[in-house]
Amino acid sequence: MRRALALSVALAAAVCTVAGGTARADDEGPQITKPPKLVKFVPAVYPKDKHDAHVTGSVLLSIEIGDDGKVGEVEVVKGAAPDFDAAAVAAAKQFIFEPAEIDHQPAPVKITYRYDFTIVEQIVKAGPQINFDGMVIERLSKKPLARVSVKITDLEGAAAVTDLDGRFAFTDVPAGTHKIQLAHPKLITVMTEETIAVGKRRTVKYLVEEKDDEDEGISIVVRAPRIKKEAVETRIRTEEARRVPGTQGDTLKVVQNLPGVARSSFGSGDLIIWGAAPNETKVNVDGVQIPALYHVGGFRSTINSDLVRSINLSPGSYGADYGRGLGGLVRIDLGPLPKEGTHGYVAADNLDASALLSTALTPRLRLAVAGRISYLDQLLPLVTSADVGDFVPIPRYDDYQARATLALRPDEELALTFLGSDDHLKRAIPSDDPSEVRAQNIDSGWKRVILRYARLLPDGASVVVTPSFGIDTSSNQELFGSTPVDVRSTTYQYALRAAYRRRVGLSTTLSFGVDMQAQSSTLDRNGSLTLPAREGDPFVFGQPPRNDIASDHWNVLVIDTAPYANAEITLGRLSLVPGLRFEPVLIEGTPSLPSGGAAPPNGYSSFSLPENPVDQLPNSQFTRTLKALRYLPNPRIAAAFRATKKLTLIAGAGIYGQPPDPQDMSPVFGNPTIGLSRAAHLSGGFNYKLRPTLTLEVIGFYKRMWDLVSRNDVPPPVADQLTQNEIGRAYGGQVLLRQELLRGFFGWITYSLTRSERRDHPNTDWRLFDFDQTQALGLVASYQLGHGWDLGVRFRYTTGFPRTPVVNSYQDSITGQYNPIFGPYNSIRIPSFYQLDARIERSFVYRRAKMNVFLDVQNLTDRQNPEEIIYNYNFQVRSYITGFPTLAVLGARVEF
Amino acid sequence: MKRIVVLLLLSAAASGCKPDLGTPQSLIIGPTILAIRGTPPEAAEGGMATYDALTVDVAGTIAAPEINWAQCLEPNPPANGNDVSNACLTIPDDTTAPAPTFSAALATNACTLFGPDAPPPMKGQPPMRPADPDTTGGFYQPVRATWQSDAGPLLAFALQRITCRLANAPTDIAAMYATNYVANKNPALADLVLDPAGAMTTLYAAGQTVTPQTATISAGQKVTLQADFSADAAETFLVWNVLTLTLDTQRESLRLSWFATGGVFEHDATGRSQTEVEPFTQNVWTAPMTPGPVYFWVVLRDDRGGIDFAAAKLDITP
Repeated sequence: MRRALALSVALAAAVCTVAGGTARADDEGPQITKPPKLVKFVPAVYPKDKHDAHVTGSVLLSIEIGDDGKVGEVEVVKGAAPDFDAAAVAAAKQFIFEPAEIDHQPAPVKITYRYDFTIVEQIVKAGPQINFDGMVIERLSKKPLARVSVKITDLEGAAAVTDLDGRFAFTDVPAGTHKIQLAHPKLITVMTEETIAVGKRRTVKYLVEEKDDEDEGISIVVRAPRIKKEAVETRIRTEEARRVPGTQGDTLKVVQNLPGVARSSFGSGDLIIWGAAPNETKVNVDGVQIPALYHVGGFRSTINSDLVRSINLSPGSYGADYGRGLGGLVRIDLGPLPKEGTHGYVAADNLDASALLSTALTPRLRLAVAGRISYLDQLLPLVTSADVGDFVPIPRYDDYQARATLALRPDEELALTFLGSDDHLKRAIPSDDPSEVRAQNIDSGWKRVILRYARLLPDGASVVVTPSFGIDTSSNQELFGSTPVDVRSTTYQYALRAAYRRRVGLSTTLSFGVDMQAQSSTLDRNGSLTLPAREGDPFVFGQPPRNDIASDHWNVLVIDTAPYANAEITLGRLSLVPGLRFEPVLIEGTPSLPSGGAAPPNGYSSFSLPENPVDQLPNSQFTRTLKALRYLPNPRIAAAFRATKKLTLIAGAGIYGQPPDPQDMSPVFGNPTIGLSRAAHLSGGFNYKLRPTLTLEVIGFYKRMWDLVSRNDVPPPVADQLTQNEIGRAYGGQVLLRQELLRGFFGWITYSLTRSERRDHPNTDWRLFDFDQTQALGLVASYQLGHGWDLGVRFRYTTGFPRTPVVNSYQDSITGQYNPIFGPYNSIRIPSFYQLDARIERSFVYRRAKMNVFLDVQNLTDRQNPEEIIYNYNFQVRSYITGFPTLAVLGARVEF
Repeated sequence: MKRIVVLLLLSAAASGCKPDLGTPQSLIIGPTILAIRGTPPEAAEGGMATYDALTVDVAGTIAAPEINWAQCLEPNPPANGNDVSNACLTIPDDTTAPAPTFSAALATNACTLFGPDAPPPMKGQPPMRPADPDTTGGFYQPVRATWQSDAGPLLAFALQRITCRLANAPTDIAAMYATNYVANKNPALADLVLDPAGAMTTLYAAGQTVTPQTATISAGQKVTLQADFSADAAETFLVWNVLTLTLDTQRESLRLSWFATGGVFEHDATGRSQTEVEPFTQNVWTAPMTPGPVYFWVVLRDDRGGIDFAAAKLDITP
């Protein structure tokens, strides 16, 4: 109903007087035989300001009427206000009368006429009216989004779809609070609430985050609590990641700058997240595990960034759909290929050259190939000292990818992806002294073939099936004098991931899946028992390994099949994602004992579960009743509570398991009876939206780990070199203040304060984890200056890694070399690390091609950051190996 | 300009990352134990060996060092990265008074403590894994020497090779090994010669009863020194190859460490690999600018713990 305001003017009674005459009672003079009759009334225009002010008035007019009935002179006898008077006069002059008659003859007369200006409100029902409408736009680009379904779920039939301008509208929505649902075929359904007031129109603007181009899924991040399956998750857009200094345009390197990620040790690309060892954090591409995110040295990622749609880092407490890792989770989602035309790029810088070519062979079939090859190892010795490789590992690497996607139907797609990566590191230090000869030859590589089938069912459910096959190879051959190190492995990985997801109610979505993986490894190891070094080994740079050697050849098969279930539940402001993961692991191998003489090798087989750690609880009557929970599926849960529109409280917890590393299962170098390691994660904090694109996030976490593997500290004869009674704990907090891309600027400040400890054996004390990094501060800022210029800076501060001091030494008379006598384990630290990096980039557009030229300068201040402690020959003089000085990477990229 | 462009295009120099670690090992600047020699260098369980030490200082060889000796019977756990158990650092001395030499019998169960003879497994337990040999197939018992020098106690360990049976080898191979294996002997230095291509001045000769006359060279002069060893210094021996599971014949490599109280050696150590048959090794030494005596020592080592050493002296003239 629309309230209408009607304006009417009452016609006052006219009081007539006869012009120029008076009535004679007893005289036979002229007589008015017929008064004038108004036949055409013209309403006066109500002065606007008087009307708006609801001011009324009456104007008394004197109107001359001719013998033809037309109005002559009009005079104001008694006015109300000049505008009222003028309006009344103007209207009266247009009156038309039937003339008066005097003695039955038309005659001119003069009358007085009162014109009343009054306001009368009248409610008029005008039909259906829009009282709830709005717009759905992409948050960052501000583009309107079409085909988004908007439903008022508590009103039957109240549904709309945004048009090409992103607009939607509802008519005659009853007053009150209503539940609004925004959905899209590929959208994580989100609910919000709106209140419609009586007689008022509610216009809203929903800002959404578009996952990809207009055909891909989008997720709501503002105004409605996005139901995240991971309690703690940082997600970076690739266009932001590429511009972070130090990444050289490699978007996957942005992970190294995210909260919770420690700076890796010099010359490695290890991911150290929330105090977990590098091998405890798993990297998945489209749900398939890969062994390494970065090439050796950490210079470059192993996957071409242009194929990547998103990178998600969960430092802990991740959901039930992933497992096999006690640490964090990095999920990389590959993106769709361009729908039309042929596109690609060619790029080169100091480190390597890369290229990608993508084409749509048919409207439904798209293909892309990409590759990268490095040449830093060839360039660096030309401009530096020839012995630079003695202290700094300079690898040679390459990676290559191919991808084909076939749109079977509008909501059904098949994608075949091939990923490959290789790393080589070779260096040799000859010497006239046979015991000083050093050589290192590392070759590693991995390949994956991933087939992904995805379908959106008509009822809104989704199915994704991902079989995959992979090969991992590694060879590490070193020589320290006469002591060799030779470790080689080949692993075949067979995996299948299948997931089904469906909304089962207004506020509940269920997903079920199975995550299967089988790894068959063949390993050979010859030489030193103490190299490669393990976490927990007292470490001194350049110290020769122990002189005892051994040899072994063994096979390990690890099969785990993990059915899981997740529920995404919205209870008003509370969002819960509970999950269960049941992951039995079968481990088989051969031999179980060191092979000797003619005795045939025998094998072993074990079946285990990552048990829920109720056995770690203090022994009491209550905890004894919980023992039954020990063998149940591992629980995981993420929760978010939207306390206010800006403040969301988040929490997560879970039990995790990790199968043993096949390299640890040698009966000679390790222990074939090693089983699963376990961990419990607990995290919590809040997320506060200072502004729509400015977020403050504070997270605290605690992790506990059991059944970790460490070296046996019992003197020989021992059954095994490794034991599995190490425990660990990590705890701390992190703060992230993040400005998402807004008017060309983005950046973040992150700070973490953490502690990570291990206890190798029940009879030893807690000690610092080798990768403990107490404090880490990072600042990233990037700004589009305009005219194609981008400028970015990055500042990092981190605590140095702990090291074990050498307090004395003794000479080993066989070799004449000195052996260190260590002080308390990890009781000193390498000095802190500070570094300022900058990046400047210029983009050019020429017709359909775009060219970027960038200069990425690391260590702008040329700070001599200590990276490792080094001693002289008898450990009486201590110094530091410093990292790279100012390192400028100049590169160019042409894309079309 | 071109160089700037090149530097701009390529990574910056990394030469600054190599630290300065002070004086080299070959320069003697204070009391130092250069070697502990066991004679014989290899013995069976319960066999006798006598140990002596080469202890030096800036004024020359310390003739009668006061050394406390201890035989260590602590096997080395897998978690220890050194060749000697940390427990050996704190065991009490065997000697009641310091002495320059020490004679003792190897432990009668040395091959069990340090070698391949693992005890039988306990009921219900997996078999114990014995110690692993080094690249020469050897097992060693540590002997600690603590020299009470003027600069305080200095530590060194001799690793006495133990003659043990072959582990994890077929019976016939083990028998062949036991029959044909020859225990290690200390290599022998023949002489130390100054300027072998010219004046050939002998600074040391094996078995010398009279110390050679001290040679003189000018300050800052660069000279070549040559150490000759006996023809049988590099022995050939049997070794169980754990990689190929075969009984191989291996030739020792020899390593010579050079020391002096002044000047600079081109190399702290030189030597001959297993395939090099030349019975000598050379080094270049640059005399100091300061006139005066300079004391030299060389220590010859083979792969299996055998040691010999010698001393010499040069006078530096202005």
